[in-house]
Amino acid sequence: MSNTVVIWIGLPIALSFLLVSLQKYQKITAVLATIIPLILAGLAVLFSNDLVLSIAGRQFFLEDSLVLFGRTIQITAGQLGMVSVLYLVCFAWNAFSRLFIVSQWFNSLSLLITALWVSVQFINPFIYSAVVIELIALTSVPLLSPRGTPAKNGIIRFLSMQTLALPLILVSGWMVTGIETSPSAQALVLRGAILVLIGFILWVGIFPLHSWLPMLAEESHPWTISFLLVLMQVGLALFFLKFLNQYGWLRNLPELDTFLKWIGALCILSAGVIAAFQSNLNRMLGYFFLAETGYLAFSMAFRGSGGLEVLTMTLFPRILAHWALAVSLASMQRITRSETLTFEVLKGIIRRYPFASVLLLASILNLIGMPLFSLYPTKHIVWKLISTDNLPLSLLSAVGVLGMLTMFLRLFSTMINPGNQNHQTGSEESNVEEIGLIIMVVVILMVIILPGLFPNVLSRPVQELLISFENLT
Amino acid sequence: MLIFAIFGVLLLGTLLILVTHSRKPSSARSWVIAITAASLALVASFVLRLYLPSEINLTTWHIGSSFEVTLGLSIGYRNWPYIVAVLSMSVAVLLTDTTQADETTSHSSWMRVLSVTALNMVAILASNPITMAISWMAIDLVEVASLLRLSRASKLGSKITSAFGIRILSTFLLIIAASNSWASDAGQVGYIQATNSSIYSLIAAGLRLGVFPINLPFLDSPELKRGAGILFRLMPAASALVLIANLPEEFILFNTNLAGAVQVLTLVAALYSAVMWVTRPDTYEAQPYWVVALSSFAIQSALNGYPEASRVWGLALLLSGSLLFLFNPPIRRIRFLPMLGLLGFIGLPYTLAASGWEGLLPDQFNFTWLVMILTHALLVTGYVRFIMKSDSSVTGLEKFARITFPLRLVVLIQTLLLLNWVGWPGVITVGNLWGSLGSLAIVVAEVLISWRLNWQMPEASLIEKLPFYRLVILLINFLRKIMSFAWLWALLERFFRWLGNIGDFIHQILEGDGGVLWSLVFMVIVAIIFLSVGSP
Repeated sequence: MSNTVVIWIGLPIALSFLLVSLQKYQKITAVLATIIPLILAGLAVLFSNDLVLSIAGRQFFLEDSLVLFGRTIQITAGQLGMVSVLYLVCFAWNAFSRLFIVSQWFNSLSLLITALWVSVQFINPFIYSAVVIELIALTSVPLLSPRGTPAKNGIIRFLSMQTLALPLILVSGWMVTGIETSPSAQALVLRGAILVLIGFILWVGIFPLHSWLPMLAEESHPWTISFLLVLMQVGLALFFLKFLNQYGWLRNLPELDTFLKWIGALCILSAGVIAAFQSNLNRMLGYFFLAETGYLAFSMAFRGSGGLEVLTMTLFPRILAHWALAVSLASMQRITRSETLTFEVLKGIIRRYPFASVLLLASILNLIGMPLFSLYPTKHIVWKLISTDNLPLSLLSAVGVLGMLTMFLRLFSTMINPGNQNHQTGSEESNVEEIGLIIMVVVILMVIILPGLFPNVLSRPVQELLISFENLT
Repeated sequence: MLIFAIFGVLLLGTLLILVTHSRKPSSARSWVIAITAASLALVASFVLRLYLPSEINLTTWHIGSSFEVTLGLSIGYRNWPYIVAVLSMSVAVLLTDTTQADETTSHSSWMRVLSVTALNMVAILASNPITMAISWMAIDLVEVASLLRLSRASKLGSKITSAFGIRILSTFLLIIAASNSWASDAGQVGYIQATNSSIYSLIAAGLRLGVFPINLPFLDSPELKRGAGILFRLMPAASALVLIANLPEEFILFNTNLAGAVQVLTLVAALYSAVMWVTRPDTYEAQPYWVVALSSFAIQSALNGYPEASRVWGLALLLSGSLLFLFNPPIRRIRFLPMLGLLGFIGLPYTLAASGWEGLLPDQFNFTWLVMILTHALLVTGYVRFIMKSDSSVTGLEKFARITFPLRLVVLIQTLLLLNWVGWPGVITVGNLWGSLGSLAIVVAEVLISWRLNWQMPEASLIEKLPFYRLVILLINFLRKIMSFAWLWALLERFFRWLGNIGDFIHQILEGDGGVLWSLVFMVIVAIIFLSVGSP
């Protein structure tokens, strides 16, 4: 047990299998799946300075690496911050999972998937991480496509993209050896970089390869899909940083930053412009992830001007923003008893369910990056960095944000204007929000507004998160 | 510290009303708490004059990083008069409620008066655009929540959306300006503002004030006709006016073309609103035009390189405006009181607005002079007309109401007079005599005509006898259609639908059966474009 890899990867995987066997006892699995990641996150924070724990005069030392089938998995003290973030995500989604009707496998598989994402960050050589990511995609299937129902287009598209990315990363991994032995081979460097970048584009789902994002978001429960996408976004961002940190040939590629900036602008633009015309809120979840990927790309591109600092500062606010949106969408879905949240369903809903509606609108404003909400303080820095850099990028990003605002206003208009049918039933259904829901909404609103005024609350704990990427900081 | 005391008094008042009312409802007690809190805050704001200028840091974002930002409040001669004006309006509105007895006058409306005043004060005192953007967002959310609670809200849906949308857009423009100004003035944390981004701030303020394009949706609901409703309509303009007053004087040099377009729009908005103001049947319907016309004056001042001069027009908008709009019922016997509101914007030497002429009229005589003087004269005429039309003779008022009814007007008048005296250094000035006398001459002529017409709009049959009647009516109708901007919204809607169709088409391609292949094709196209455009 005295090994970081066993504690933060081996143990949760074993526990997740245990939870699978306890499937019948939903409450117990939910409680365990909430407590276990919380403990793991707490332990990660506890050991993040060094791997020694002193209790009653006795010292416990933790090993930081494990060799498995000839591959090394190493989690040092400095990297435990990242581990704690991933387990906190798992905790946040499991803690509320009982409120919504999600897959019965959610609790157990969410723990397994989190452990797998942790392992992705620390396997050497990295090509095996690609295989683990494919494994994660396959493990997600029971969550996205319940047993007995035919697989829908979104999940097939998702699996296709993830699988397409695998060979690209594997090939780039084999090429890396060649590049490292002859770093001056420019052609090889370029080919390697292209393969890596396309692999990541397929994984993350960047325009025009993003189509699986809205499709999957439309077909799946918002709680499940937001969990998977948040973990994926955080996990892949950290994984890409590991790449940059590890390989100088990629990091020093002159076009890389320009490429990342254009990717960022394209993501924000496409997400905003497409979302402006959507009439299905579930799909918008996908577009919000696309836009946030754009902001992540910008942060990485501006790493020379403090972009990584921004990336760490924005980590918790972003997770919280997605979590709040997921809560609001899942709550809406529950109270409207509707599988997908089309605008038709949401007509005049603000009068019937004012609290749930306010939460939904506030979550969207937060993700767009409007002032007063938690994402604004960091998005403001990104906008500042973009405007310093060049005009076309600023314009594209501004159009993207305007698209998102248009979508917000369309949604607002739908929610305040009663449809004929809803209008008639409106008065009968008023004040049906449970007190629990109202309290939850008030608390969540405070959670997304307070860091908008005092961002240090969320950014300070993760200040040292990327310290292990010594070549980037 | 005094500024915190003012916020504290307002928020404490709100809290006290909430707590006491929930324990044992009593309208009288709630009202006394509200009026005491507002009056104390008003008195404290006058004391604040002794401590100008001063700065208060509220919080610092991202401490220790290279992106440190300080949120704070700053109080100086540019925003102190607005603070006094806003607090006077609150006191006046609370006094108004003693003369009204309907369901909209309740403890919740008084709580809203106090809290909205406090929120607006944060926006007015904001020491930088980020603080202002945050407070704008908070104000807008509170306001939209209030609008959704109006009795006619379900019928006003689209108007509420467009009003909220324009506010959101103005906040977005302000944060763009904040990002840009930060970019060019690294390390600058104080107010405002890089000259190259100030035009965005001006447009943000213009949108918020309803000037670019004329966009004050006419929200018709009974609650908006009374005290608190008037306050909520006028008050949000204050912070936008402060933003204009804080623009750097030389910003126009960097944005000549855009500023030229803005100037034309402002002139058109000013003249059109003044004409509409003078021709509306009652003050309620005329309110939005009053806001647009005087806001245009403020914007014009900034465009002419005298942003500080915008202050007097902003104060006129708030103080003289509330004086007229709160004169309800319009009791004939005391109509001399609102008439004193003219002192706030008539612009004669040594009155409050005398210093405003330098902003309104460019240094060189040109066409703008004529438009501005005519617009000003129309505003004054309309103001006089609305007061002279007052014909109520209320009887049976409660004893206290006989005092509080005129008292609310007196509070506003004394604020006007005080600001005229100690508002800022150099407030007592002769101003531009050409402007003030020119306007006065037109006003006298117009007032004489109005007097002859018994302060009513001329009968239709009389107007029809005027020369070129048909042509003029055609022109006016055409202008009204143009200025309603309904055509613009229709055009935008069509454009949006057209874009939506294209979006649908692309979405069908990408998510259809051959979607993966099409995605790859698109990716190659994007890559080719990226490579051909090259690094920016």
